[in-house]
Amino acid sequence: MTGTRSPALDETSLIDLVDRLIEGGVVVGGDLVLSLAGVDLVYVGLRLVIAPAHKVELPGTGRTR
Amino acid sequence: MMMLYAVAAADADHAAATDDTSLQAHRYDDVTVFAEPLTDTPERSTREVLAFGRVLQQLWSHHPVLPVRFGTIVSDETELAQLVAERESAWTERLTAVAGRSEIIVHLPLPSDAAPDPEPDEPVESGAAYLRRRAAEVRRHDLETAELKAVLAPYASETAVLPQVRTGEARLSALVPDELVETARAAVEKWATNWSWATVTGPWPPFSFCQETEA
Repeated sequence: MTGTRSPALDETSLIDLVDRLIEGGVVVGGDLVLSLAGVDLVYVGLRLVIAPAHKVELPGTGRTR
Repeated sequence: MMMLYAVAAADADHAAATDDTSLQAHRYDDVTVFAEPLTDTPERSTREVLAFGRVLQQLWSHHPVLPVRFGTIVSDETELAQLVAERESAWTERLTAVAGRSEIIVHLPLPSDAAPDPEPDEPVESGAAYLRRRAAEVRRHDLETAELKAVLAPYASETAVLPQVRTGEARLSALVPDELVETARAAVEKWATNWSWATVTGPWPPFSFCQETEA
């Protein structure tokens, strides 16, 4: 399964990767936003999940074909 | 506390998959959860997110996995065991659904909200003309999306419409067998020549298919 599974990280791919890493995947859920050490967190029982609203800076976003 | 990376089958082993020696495999009856012990919450930086993604892709290159959203933290083993107990059955089903498959993401142009530049002697667009133009553009986009789904249908077991990340672009994600990724990409690119443009990224771990979606 290796080899063909490493896409070239052009700009569009990078945006998709970062977006899916922080907005996709298994989501545990949360119900209360807290802030701890400058990071917004969602508190779920004893579970801590970085809030979906958190953003990371992205490189430039010009379109590529 | 520990940050979760991915859920895999019970017999999955990360030793050969990743050079991240801090990663631990927590084994349960039907699944293994890969996690990293933390003393501090992770930085909210692109660098940290991409480092997380790199480890995740290494794991995925060796095993079917369900990626866990970056920054998901449990306080201890007891918390993790509780989380697994609640979701093990659903995760096992999804692991079966994504095994041997990759996600590809197709970017498409969205209908423009702006009127085209008028010719010098052309009157300014009226409200009714604007609405007619917008309706036509939305119909065209709906047709385009339907056609794209039809193009992907022979390859994709599931599709998902993703949130917009760039102005003027829609995204459609598809879960396709590993061996058909390039065939599906070529089919989309061939189809796109009939429209304005389309861009395909991937193959990715099944980020958008950790919960059941439309077929």
